[in-house]
Formats: sequence, structure tokens, C-alpha cells
Amino acid sequence: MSVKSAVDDIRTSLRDAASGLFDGGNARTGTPVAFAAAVAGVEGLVYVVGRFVPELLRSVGAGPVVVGLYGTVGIALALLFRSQGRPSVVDDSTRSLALVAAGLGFWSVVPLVGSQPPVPAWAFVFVGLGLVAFRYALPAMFGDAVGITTTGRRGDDSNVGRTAGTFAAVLATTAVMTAAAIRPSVQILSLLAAVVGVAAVALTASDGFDAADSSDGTQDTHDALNAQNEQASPPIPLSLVPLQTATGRRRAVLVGDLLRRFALALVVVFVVVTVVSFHAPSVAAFGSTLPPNAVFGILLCLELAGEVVGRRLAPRVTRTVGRRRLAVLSVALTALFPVLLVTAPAKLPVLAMLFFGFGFRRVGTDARRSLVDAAVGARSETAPDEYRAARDLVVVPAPVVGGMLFWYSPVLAFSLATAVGGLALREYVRLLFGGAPTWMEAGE
Amino acid sequence: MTQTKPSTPVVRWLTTLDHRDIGVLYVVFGAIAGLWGATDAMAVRTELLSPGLAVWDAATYNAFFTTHGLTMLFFFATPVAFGLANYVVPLLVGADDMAFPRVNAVAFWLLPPALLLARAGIVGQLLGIPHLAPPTTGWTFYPPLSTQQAGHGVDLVLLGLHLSGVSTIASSVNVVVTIAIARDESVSWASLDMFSWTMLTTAGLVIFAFPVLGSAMLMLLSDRLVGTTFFAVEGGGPMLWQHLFWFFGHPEVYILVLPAMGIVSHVLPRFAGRRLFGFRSVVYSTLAIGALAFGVWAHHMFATGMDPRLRISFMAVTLAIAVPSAVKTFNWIATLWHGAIRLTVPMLFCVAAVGNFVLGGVTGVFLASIPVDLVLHDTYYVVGHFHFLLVGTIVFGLFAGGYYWFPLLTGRWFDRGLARAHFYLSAFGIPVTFLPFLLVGMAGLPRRVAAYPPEFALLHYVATFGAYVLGVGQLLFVWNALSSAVRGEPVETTDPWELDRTGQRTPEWASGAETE
Repeated sequence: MSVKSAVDDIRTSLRDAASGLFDGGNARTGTPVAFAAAVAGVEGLVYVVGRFVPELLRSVGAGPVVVGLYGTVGIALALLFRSQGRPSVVDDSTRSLALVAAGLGFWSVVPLVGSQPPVPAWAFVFVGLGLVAFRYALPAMFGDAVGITTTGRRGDDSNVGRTAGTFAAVLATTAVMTAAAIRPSVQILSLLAAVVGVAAVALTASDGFDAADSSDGTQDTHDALNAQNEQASPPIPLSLVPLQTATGRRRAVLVGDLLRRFALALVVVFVVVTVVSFHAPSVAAFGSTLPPNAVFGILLCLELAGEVVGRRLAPRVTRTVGRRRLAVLSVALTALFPVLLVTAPAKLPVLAMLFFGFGFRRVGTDARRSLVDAAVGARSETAPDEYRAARDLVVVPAPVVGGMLFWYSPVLAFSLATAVGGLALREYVRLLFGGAPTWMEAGE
Repeated sequence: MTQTKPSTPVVRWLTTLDHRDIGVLYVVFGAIAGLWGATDAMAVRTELLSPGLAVWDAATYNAFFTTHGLTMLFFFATPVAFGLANYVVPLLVGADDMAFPRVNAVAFWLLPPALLLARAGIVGQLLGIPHLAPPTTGWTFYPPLSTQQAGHGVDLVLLGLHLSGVSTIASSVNVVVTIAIARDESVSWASLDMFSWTMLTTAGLVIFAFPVLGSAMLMLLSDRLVGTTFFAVEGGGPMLWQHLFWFFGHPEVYILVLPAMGIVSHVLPRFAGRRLFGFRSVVYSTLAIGALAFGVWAHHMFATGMDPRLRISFMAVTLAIAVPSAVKTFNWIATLWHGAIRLTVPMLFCVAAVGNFVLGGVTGVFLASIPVDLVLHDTYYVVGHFHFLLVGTIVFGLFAGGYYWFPLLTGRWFDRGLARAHFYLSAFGIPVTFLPFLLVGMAGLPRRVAAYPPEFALLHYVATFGAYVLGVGQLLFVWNALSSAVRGEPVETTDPWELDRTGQRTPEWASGAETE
């Protein structure tokens, strides 16, 4: 693949994002467009703030186990909501958005609480996390008219609106982190996210108001949202049957997938802590020094850029090297990241390459997912989702385990994550030997 | 006046003498400046989320609240009010154009350089230009602080404000002559509409108040650059500045609020289905406010140690000015009574403006009392009081006018959903932001300080939450105005608000909305 074609791909994605922004409003009223922007803003800010929250927890006195518990509760809540299915009713959306905004509000009051007894400040983070998790109860897709997904499963789609929202959120975060320390920064950003959520609620409420304006006959947000009732999804039962019954390379795919997910979950909440407090890099730029928080913001930008590039290149690379090799590459990038991160020198270029590479692992996400789908088999339409839900149930304790390891030694925690990732890689490498079996070809 | 139509849109907008074009230019300029000033406010509120200095240093914080006040008062509220007047008053009074079209254009085109001069400090700071920092004096420029701040930031601001003063005076002369001389023969003083009455009074206030400000600013500039002692202790003294500044400053409050009151008086009856209750008393109250506005300035100086006998006289006049204000409020409420109310977006803003005016006005009555003022002087209570008026009443009034005349100005409809969301967020944001100000003020917290004791953190947090809600709400307005002006549904009637049903269509709609 030439550099030129990669640049063309990026250019195309930017053009798509721009045209999505403007064309989205061309055929419709401004309200759904503004609503889409607000939801994208909330999603982006929740993602970015969520990445910084472990460092916030640490700064208010929480130990590594509590930080790990944050990751465990996060996975458990996502699993809980996903297993209950997704609604598509607008009223639920309004309520869920309001609860998400309230959760962000809880995050924003953490610095006010400080470390005053009797309730520790980190308890507010967990209350907020419980409310923020209601974003999983939002419809998976806010309709064609709004054109934005809210699944929270970042690797599952390439929605340009949400990617643009996340980029904007990361840039805003970096700017704020440049000016302030972690606690005020998270406070500012989570409050801002809460307010954007309030704006989204106001937008859904505004069309229901029975004002006596002259009718303009245009479509309102409710119409736009209701247009996608088919986006509702049923509850998902948990089933590890595929993992228990699979044999041979089917089993290798599923075991590898489980190990990969476990390895990532062990340390993912400690990435920010490792960068900000362990490496504590600072960068001189424009006559001032960027603090470690801001550097981590830059690294998140690069990770996101890696994701975007990876996703854009994925179809072409799949055609060139094949699905299996691409999946192996993706798992290898995931597995190597922890140990490289914890042992890397605290220099921006090195960390930048690491985070870009970590984001670039998304190049193999679709390939890996399709292999898993094929390995699960076509017992039912929801079988892959059932398997993934059950897999995540196994992964739930991983962050707490990671917290205990991190408490003992950060190097140990990250090295062990790489070791588990290495086991996942070993399973995937088995796919490279021998021809592709029939079940695997079916998914090609 | 006959003109050759310019060939390109750029040349047309740069050279236009048409009052409607200049009106639009004023409104667009004011909106841009308003966004700039709102950014300052967000910066101030962001700093106040934390009791300590978390985001900006103290000097930067001081610069933000200074430029926020200057930008909002001189470059947002005044230009938008005069912009709407430029567009509408000639239509309302049956004039072909403003009385002096070229003066009108010059008055507008003085504003952009004035804004750039006033904001040069922040640009200089960003570009690292030495000796060019933004002023940190507060918008009142009290000496000796203002005479002692190093660099040329203050000098440029004084020049910029002087320029904006010249612009405003020129506009005001135009408004007065247009209404008094250039109006159609069929429009008598008795039949002059309420908005024109308030703009006439406003323009009169400007003509008497702004020259004083301009002179005082030149004197201050002279103290800074030439070494004169107008406001030095060994010369005229710092108190002289305060007297001169507030002789302009308090009428300035009415210069800002009267156009908004005029809009509310004009728009509210259209959607109440009734004529304005007690029209004549509203006119008299407007004129009374205009007259009394020049007799209250020293209530800003009760804590300076001025002669107690003088203080009492100013207290009496200040309390008296509550009477015409209350008359207006009573008349608006009475107009709504038994009305066939249509809660359109302009009407929502009007009703909220009246409510906020009651809150802002009543809190002001307490400040008029000398003993109370001595306790609350220079606290957040004062900031809360005047923000209920400046934002809750004046900005809401301007939004009411903006939405009401949007079909006239653009020939298109605005998006109703966005506009209502804008209203909800704004109406929610006002009390959430400014009620905590009153509370922390009553608890004694001084204003204009970047750091504060931790016990005020929760109320400041609530205020910042409200301010962010207000800020995001205004972004919805900007998006709505921009997208609707380009893609909104075209207006295909000369009576878009269906005012004929109640016989309330006014002359500005007679010629019909602009259509493509």
C-alpha cells in the first residue's frame, strides 16, 4: 500500500466527515443535526474523560485496587446493559441522556468533595459511573436523520460523526489539560459534557412543546428518532457454549479472543496512570512546558488517529494480506503494547509511536471479529453477541486483578498483560498454518 | 437616494448605505463580539470552579472580566440594539432611510477598528508582543489602577472605546433626526410606536452621556501618556474619574435596557392578542427613566466616603427610578391579562425577560438603600443583580426582537426546535448562574477576585454549571441563525406572525419580508 493511497484514504474520511456534517442538515431541520452534534459531543467527552478518570481516582487518594475496581464495574455495567438489549423509544433516550448528564455531574463534583470523610471522593466517581453507563441504554443508532451511533462499542463501526466528535473532545481535553491539573481538568470537562448532555435533552424536549408557532411542516427530532424503531435489539443471554464445545482452530480463535480481551482489561485503566504518574513526561512547546496530563491528551489524539487510519486501511489490507494475518497483526499490537509502554523511555516520540500503533490495531478488528463470528458458528443470529457477552463476564474481574498486580509492581502488571496477550497471539498464530477450514471460509 | 448597485456582494456590503444592510451588519458584528465576550465569561467561570488558581493566573483572570464587561456593553448589546433600530425604525416611522445614510455607514464602520483596539491586548499577549497586554482594571478604569498599569494595552482600549463612543453618538444623532424629522407625515407623536419611543430616548441618553465618557477617557489617556494630573491625588483626584465615569455609566445602563424594554413593549402585545396596556404611561415612564437616569450616578459611589447629604439625594432619586420601571412591568403583565396568548419563541423570551426584570429590579432596589449598599458594595450580590438585568432582561429582549424580526431580516424562518431549546437552556441558565451570585454576595464574598475561600466552592460550581448551560444554549442560537439564514424555510407572506388576525400588524411588515 502506497503512502499516497493512505493519504487519499484519510482525505476521503475527512471529506466524509465534513459532508456528513453539512449534508445532514441539508435535507432536514437544524434540530436533529444539533442533537447529533450534542450526542457526539457527549459520547466523545465521556470517552476521553473516562480515560482520565483512573488518574483522577489516584489523585483523590484511591489505591490501585480501587482504580481496578473502576474498570471492573465499567465492564460489568456495559455487560449488564448490553445483556438487557437496546431500546429505541425516544422517551427512554431522553431519560437516559439525562441520567448520563447526571453521572457526568457526579464526576465533576469529585474535586469539591476532596478527601473529606465520611464518604471518600472516589465513591462519587462510582456513582457517576453507574449513571454514565446509561449511555448503553441509548438506542444503538439515532436514526438516519440524525445519523449517529451511540453504542459505546468504539471498534464496531466507523461512524464519521462520532469519530469527529471524539477527535474534537480529545483536542479540547488536551487544551484544558495544558492549562490545569488533573482534578480541575476532569471537573471542567465532565461538567462541560454534562451540560452538552443537558442541551441534548433540551433539544429532544423542544419539539414536544406545543407552541403556537406557525407550522413550518419540517421534520422534528422525535420523528427522526422514531424513524429507526428497527434499531431496537433484544436481550442477550450469556452463553459460553461455543467456547466449551469448540475444538481445534475454532477453539483457538475463541480462546485467543478471550485471552486478548483479558490481557487488555488487566491494564487498560492503568495506562493513564502509567503515563502521567509513572513516566510523567513533559514536553516543551511554544515557549511553555506541557504537563504529563496534556501529553497524555496528545497521545490519545495519536491513538485515535491510529484507529482512524487503521479502520480506513482495513478493507484494502484485508484484501492484500488476508483476514488471518491481519487478525494476528492486530493481536500482536495489542499484546506488545503493555510491556512496551511500561518499559519505554519517557520521551514523546517513543510514546507517540506506541500509542499510534496501539490505535492502529483497529486495522484488524473487523478481521478478528469475523473470525470469531465464524468460529462461533451460525447457531442463531445473536450467537456471536451471546458469546461476546459471556466472554466479557469472564473478563469482569480482570481490572481488579490488574489493580492488585499494579499495586505490587506496575512493571509486573503490564508484563503479565503482555504475557497473557502473548498466549492469545499463540492461539491466533495457529491459524496461519495449514489451509483455511470450511467454517472460516464461510465468513470470507 | 439613488445608488448604483455594486457589482459583487463584498463591495455591496462594504459600501452599502441602505439602512437595512447596515442594520444587518450591526447585528452580525454585535453577535460576533457577543461570542467573544461570552468566551471571556466562560474563562472567568471556569477559573471559579476551583477555589484556588487552577486554570489562569490572577492577572489573566482580571483581564478576562475586564474585557468581558467592555466587549459585552460596548460591542455587543449596544450595536445589536442599534442594528435592530437601524433596520426597523425607518420602516416603523415611514422614513425612506435613516436621516443621514453616510453618517450611518461611517458610524458602523468605526466599530470594527474600535473592537480591534479594545481587544488588542489579548491579541498582543497571544502573539507575544511586548508592552501589549490586556487591561486588568475592570471596565470602570478606576485610577490609580488604570493610570499605573504598564504597557499600552490600556491606552489602546481607551482609544477603542473613544472610537466606539463616536460611533454610538453618530448613530444616536441619526436615530433622533430620523424619528423627529424624517418620519412620514402620517406618523404623529401620538401614533409613534413604542420601540421608536424607547430608541428615541436611548439616543437622547447617548448624546448626553457618551461625550462625557469620551472626554474623561481622553483625560485619562493624557494622565497616562502626557503626565497630566486630572485624576492624580495631587490634581483632580481619583474621585473625579468616578464621578465622570458614572455620569456616563449609569445612563449607559438605561441606554442598554431601554431598547430591550422597547422590544418587549412592541413584541409582547402581538402575541398577547391585545394592545399594550396603558401605552401612554409606558411612554411617560420611558421618558421619566431617561430623565432620572442622569440623577442617580453616585449610587455607585456610596462607599467612597462622599458627603452623606449628597448620598441621600442620590438614594432618593435611585429609589424614584424604580417607579417608572415598575409601571412598565405592571403594564406588561396587565397586557397579558385575559390576552389570547401565543407562546411563540419571541413571546417566550419576552415573558422571561419580564420575570428576570422583576428579579433584577427588586435586587437593585435593595442596593439603592445606603445602609444595605454599604454591606453589599463590591460583592457578588451586585454582579448577580446587574446580570439579571443585563442578561436576563436586555439579552432576552434582544433575542425576542431577533427572533421576531428574523423573517424580516433574512426572508426565512428560523428552526423552531432549536429556538425553543435555546430558550429553555437560556431561561434555565439565568437563575442557575446568577442566583448563587446573590447568595455568595450576601455572604460577603467580594467580586473580581480569582481565588476565594473553599466554603463558596459549591455555589460557584452551581453558577459555573449555569454559565456553561447558557454558553451552550447560545451556540444553538448561532447555529440556528447561520443555518436558517441560508437554508431556512422561505417566508412567503408579509404577515408571517399572523398579526392581521388581531389587527396588530405594524408598518415594518407592510413592505413584506425579504424574499429570494
